[in-house]
Amino acid sequence: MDRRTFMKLGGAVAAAGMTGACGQAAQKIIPYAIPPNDGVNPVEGWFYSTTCRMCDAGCGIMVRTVEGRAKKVEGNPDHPINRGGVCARGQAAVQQYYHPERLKTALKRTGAKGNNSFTPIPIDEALNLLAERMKTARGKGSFVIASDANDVTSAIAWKILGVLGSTDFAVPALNGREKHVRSMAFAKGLGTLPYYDISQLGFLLLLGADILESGFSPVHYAGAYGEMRRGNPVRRGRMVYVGRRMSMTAASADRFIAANPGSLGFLSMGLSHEVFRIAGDNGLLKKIPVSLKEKWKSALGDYTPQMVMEKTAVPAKVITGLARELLEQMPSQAIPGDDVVCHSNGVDSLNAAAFLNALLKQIARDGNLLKKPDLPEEDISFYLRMKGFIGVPEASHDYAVFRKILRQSAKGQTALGMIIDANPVHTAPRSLKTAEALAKTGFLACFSSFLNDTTRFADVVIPAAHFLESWSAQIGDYPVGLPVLSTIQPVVKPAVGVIQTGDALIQAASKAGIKLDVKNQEEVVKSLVKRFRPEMYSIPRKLDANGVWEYCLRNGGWWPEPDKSKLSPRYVPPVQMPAVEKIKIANPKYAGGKDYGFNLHLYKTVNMGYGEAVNLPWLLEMPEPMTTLSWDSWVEINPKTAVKLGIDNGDVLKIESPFGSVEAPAFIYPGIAPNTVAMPFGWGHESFGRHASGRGANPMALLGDFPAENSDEPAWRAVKVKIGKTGKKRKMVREGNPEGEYEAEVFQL
Amino acid sequence: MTLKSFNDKHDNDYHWAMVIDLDCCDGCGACTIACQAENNVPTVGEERAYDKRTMSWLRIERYFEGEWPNLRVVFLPMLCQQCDKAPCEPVCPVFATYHNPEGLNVMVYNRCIGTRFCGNNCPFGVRKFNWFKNRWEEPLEQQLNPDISVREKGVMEKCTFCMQRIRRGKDHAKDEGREVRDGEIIPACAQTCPTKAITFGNIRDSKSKVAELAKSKRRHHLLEEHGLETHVIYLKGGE
Repeated sequence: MDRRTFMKLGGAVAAAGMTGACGQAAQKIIPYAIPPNDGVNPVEGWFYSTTCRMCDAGCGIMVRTVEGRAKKVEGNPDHPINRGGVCARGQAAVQQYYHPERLKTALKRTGAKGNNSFTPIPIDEALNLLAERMKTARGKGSFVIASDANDVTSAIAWKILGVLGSTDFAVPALNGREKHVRSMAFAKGLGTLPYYDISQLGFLLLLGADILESGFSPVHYAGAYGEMRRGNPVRRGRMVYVGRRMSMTAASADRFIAANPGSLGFLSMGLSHEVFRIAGDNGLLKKIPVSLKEKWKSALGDYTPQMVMEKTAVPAKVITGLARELLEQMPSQAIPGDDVVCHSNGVDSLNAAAFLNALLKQIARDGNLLKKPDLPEEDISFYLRMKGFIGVPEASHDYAVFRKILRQSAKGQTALGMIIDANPVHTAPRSLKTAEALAKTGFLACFSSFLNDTTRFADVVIPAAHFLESWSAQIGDYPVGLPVLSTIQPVVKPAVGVIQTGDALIQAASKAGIKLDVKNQEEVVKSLVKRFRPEMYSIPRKLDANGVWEYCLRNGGWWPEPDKSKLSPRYVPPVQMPAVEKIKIANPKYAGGKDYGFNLHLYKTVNMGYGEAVNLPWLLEMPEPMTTLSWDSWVEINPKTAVKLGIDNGDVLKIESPFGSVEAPAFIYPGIAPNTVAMPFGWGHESFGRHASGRGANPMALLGDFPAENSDEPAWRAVKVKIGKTGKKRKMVREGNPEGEYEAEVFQL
Repeated sequence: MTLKSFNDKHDNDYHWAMVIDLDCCDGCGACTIACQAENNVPTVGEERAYDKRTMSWLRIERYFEGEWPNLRVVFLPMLCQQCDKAPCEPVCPVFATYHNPEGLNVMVYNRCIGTRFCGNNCPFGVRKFNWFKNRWEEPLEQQLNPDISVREKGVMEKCTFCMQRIRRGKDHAKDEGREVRDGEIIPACAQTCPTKAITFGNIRDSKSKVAELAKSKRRHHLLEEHGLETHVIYLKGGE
């Protein structure tokens, strides 16, 4: 059975799922002079199920293709991660696929590293060069830096890295992941990311958590948010946001509460204190042993509303009020986000939020306050076993591994480096000197679809196939209460001159005499499906291996029934209470002394993220939802501060931290605290095609090596800056005006 | 036949309408890019975007109220409201924009001579004029949707409620000798919406989801006092 046959099957079923039975009618009307043999359907097109790789969340998508060309991305309504939704970046996947600047040949460096001087060579020759290095690199230091550790490509890279005698596989990102995982280990003994089921909540407290724009899966949480609001006809979930900036998520909340930076750990403890007190007064803690209660009481004793008010600047009355709401509108939950994680006291603050959640859950369960039966605790064993198949350990997300790679490379102790679809020169703090370290790597191979900041330092660039023309599979990055295996299949015939990264790695390895038991990336996906076939209970038993494979491709992968009540056995373990006595919240520390008067608030926007897709005109021209700015980056400043300093919209400001400085135009924004300035990530590429190069400012220049306690990831919101006018002025492309109204006054609050 | 009597005809089985729940909308803008991908809407570049020459048929408006920290924000997806008493229609000298029997304001691109009277009369600012010849650099033109045309310079364009999808849905229904089922036709914006804030359907079918949602107490229309009889119905956010 050839690939086309699979794809046709995928198309027929997916299309039927979308609009009833389409496909046949048009074929009846339009006769072919020469009948096609590959299932071309000129009007309707086919829908192919695959998985979006524009970020790591792994949403299931169906791509409409007409006459062999990818036209449009639609969400897969059955996929448990996105349930039919797709974000702006996912929609732009087709533009990325047809981007005029995509690499269509391998490149070999001709000039000095960093000069961007390359000469085109055949892919085979590039793989020969890589193979030569693989032969000699054994035991002499090698590393992989990738953008994802949960897919089949990383599984192949990990295997080869093992043969080369190294475990230095890094997935660096400033998203607090390593701290979240550590906190989960503390709170529940699980080594994974946390998952919050918000769809049924009565009250949701967001502690600086921008779940709808920059969390680990914005589309998933957006779907759950919609359900929380209006999924239940009789009750609407309420949402309160505490933080420093009116983000897109905060704008969706019913109430916004401003708090001091780095103080949300105190707030979590203060809320636990009040919840514990109020619940005790109302007899809701009767089932909890007295000894445990005594322990909690002494651990929480210091965090009175008065003390927490001093730390957070949230009035004591508001804290008590929030605690009451958390208790009255059960089920309720708090989600800690970037404002909690990315300060120097991040891990302890996360633990404090975890304790608050456990306490709320315990009270809800004991008091029978849950209207619906409680959900079972996350069953992550299947997820962990699938991750075990991929092989890359969770530790690859630790910043320590990335730092180790840079340290060794800078000393010239690395013979071979491979960078897979990542751009660490752009996305890591400048002070880590990533570029300098990569320049000293013995041999650097970049697998990339575009030339970017990092490929400048490559010895050879291998033109990676786009995910719309690749075979792969991804294990849903965090268990959404379900184990998820998402398959990726080519939706169009692969372009000439590109190669799937996994295939390139396997071919180079075999040339280097490294024996792997697989021939290509597709086979690894097949073996992954085969290996876990016995556990995929919802696939009909009678299907043979081919049938199962087709089932997975047609559906975009495998996951259990989304209805959790069907998960068996229905075992509800007792709530694990984190050891609250071990949580001590320290005052936040900052880089930058008295001269630096402003807190720097860095954030990801919904369309740009860390800047992986900033070269796509669709996303560049899309107004960022809160500022309505497009085509350039900016620095947000409070209107009152702007008046005090005589700053107007478009005045180019110099933002200076103890580690570096950048220039960006000012944008007067009412949703930012007066002593804070905010900047988006993702802009300021030095080399990323003609749309992105030199556009905007990269705030990574402002970040220093200021590690938080218990973590190697820099505390990237614990930096203070000073701002000054440069005298320059820049035009800003803005859809609306800063006070909110548009060209037409059609709406009143 | 006056325009009014034409508008008041109620002999069609379909009248398309959209309900947008502002309580669910989180302003993420996925709909704007989905619309762009589906409808061959071009990007214009930084210089022209600065001159407000962007072509997007759908935009997210956001409104601020108050001062730090007592702020309120509302998002509002703004697209052609498909008014039954549309201010854009009577001013077109060549009937390039007219009201079709299914309640849509339709643009006939071939008739448009670019007077831009319609754009001037639209209170929502959702009509977009092609000031320039649009170019798709190779191979970007391969992404273009074959179901609809690429508009020429000098032509006005706007949201069509994804006319091509309505057409396709009706064709299928006709082939099978039935009415269009509720939920069978989904415009690109509604299909991609991560929060499921957008619902589309036939408001003349009393059992359809839009008809159901339109009964909500939270229902309101934009510029209702002008009597435009818009067919995008917003459901108010908040408690």
